[in-house]
Amino acid sequence: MKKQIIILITSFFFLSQIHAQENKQAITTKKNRFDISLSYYGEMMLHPGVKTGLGYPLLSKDNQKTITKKRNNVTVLKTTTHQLIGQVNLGFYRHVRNHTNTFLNVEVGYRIKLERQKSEKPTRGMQFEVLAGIGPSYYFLTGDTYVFDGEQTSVKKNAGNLAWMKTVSISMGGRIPNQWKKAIYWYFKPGAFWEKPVNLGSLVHPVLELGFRYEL
Amino acid sequence: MLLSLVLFFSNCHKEQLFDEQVEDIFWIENAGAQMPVWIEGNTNSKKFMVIIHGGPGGESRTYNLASPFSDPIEAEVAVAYWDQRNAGASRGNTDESKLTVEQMVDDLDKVVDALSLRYGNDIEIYLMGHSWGGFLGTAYLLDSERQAKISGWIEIAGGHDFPLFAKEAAILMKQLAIDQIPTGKSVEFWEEVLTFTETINLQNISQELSNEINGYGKRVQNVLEFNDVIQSTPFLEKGEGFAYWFQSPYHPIANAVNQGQSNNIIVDQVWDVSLTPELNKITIPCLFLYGKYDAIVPPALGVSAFEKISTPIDDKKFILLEKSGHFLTHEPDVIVAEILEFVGE
Repeated sequence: MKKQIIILITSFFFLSQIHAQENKQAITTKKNRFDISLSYYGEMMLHPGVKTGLGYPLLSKDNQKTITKKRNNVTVLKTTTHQLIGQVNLGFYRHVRNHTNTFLNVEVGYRIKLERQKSEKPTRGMQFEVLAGIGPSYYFLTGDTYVFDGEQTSVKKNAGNLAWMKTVSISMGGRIPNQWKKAIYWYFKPGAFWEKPVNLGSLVHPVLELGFRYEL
Repeated sequence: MLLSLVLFFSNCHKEQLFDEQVEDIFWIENAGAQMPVWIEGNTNSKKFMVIIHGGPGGESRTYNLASPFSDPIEAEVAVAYWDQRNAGASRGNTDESKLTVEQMVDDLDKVVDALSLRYGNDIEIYLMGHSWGGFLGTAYLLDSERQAKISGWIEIAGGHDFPLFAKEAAILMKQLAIDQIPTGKSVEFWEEVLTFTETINLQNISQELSNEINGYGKRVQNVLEFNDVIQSTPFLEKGEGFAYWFQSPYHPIANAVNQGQSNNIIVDQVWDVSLTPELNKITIPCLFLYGKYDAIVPPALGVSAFEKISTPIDDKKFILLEKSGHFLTHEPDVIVAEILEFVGE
């Protein structure tokens, strides 16, 4: 029995030394950074457009954990970041032989970043977001518009209308490892926006975004 | 810079008005609605056929997608695909009070005027109304000033008389059930149709019953297609469906939303309206094409219109499509040949 206890204690000690040494750290106070984003904006997936945005974490909380592997003496810094984010976006898309829609909107949402940095290697990680937004949009009809107003008829180019768009989206992305230690993320962001007014009500538009976000 | 890019894109389409294969687009803005008109085909012919689509609340691009119908016609004449207000890709900030037959007739008049403004006063304009478009086109032609702008009227399965087509659909469905039960195909369905039609009092068809008859009419068409009584020509080539949904001017969601809003509002107004008593006001050349098995808008309406209009006998024609139901894709070759002969090509 005594022999077994010694083996158990030895094994436990040995294994704990081999696998890892964990060191939970307190919440850090990293400086929040603005970020810029640029994406392909596909209304109905294939009606092509571009969206660019400027974002800022309104609230941010990091939880960091350092794991040291004794065997090869590698230290891994794991960071989980929870953020309440705000974003201002400008963009457009074109529906072929139909119209071109432009928009300016504000999005707010939640982002979680799961990152890990192994010794001196570039940081890797994933990010997930849930966002909702609102803003004005203006569409330009493709081609001439014959405007009939009572007895008057005129021809307008780029006729259009102002509308409101409400947006919802979810996003998934990853940090692109780079030697300059810059936080650059790719992301895939399916969502939808409601355009109102359109005829007697509103119109839902599915959207797919594929883009990059760069933390300044 | 972004604005320049947007304006560049929004103007990025060819605006060649006359050629053998033109793709043009313009919009009509009238009484709060912005309605697209796509011109496709041979504008050198100086003959324009305006598609008045079905529905109410349908859309015009489907007629372009039906290539066995659209390709040969566009090779000879120009086709104007017009989406009615609150239908298809139409936009604007309108309200329900403007979703009326009178307003839509006025919209059609603006389409006709815009065609003349854009392509010149020497063009010939033909109207082609399908299903609900048959009602709208007929309503348009009842005014002599408007009729004078039109070279010919083509009505395909047109429902210019709602009470008559509900009644005739019930009669036709009953006869089809009697004829189809002995074939042994879809017997259970035909027995259901027979039972349903036998309960109908043809002298007193309510709106609810009219809608129910219409619903049965659609099912009858599907069963007849399934059993090869109606000739079914696929109108989508492989891969075209994807392009149609995602890369064409068509917007499937807008179409569905608009149809959902428009259909009931308009049907509520017209379900008991008959234009038959006024058909004698029509004097221009007319071509009526109706499917023998069309239980949605039966051929009796075409026969009635052919008899009632005041067009001279040599300038009017009724064709019974022997293997067709309600759609143009059942016998496109016959329809195309008749239309091209009618417009003088």
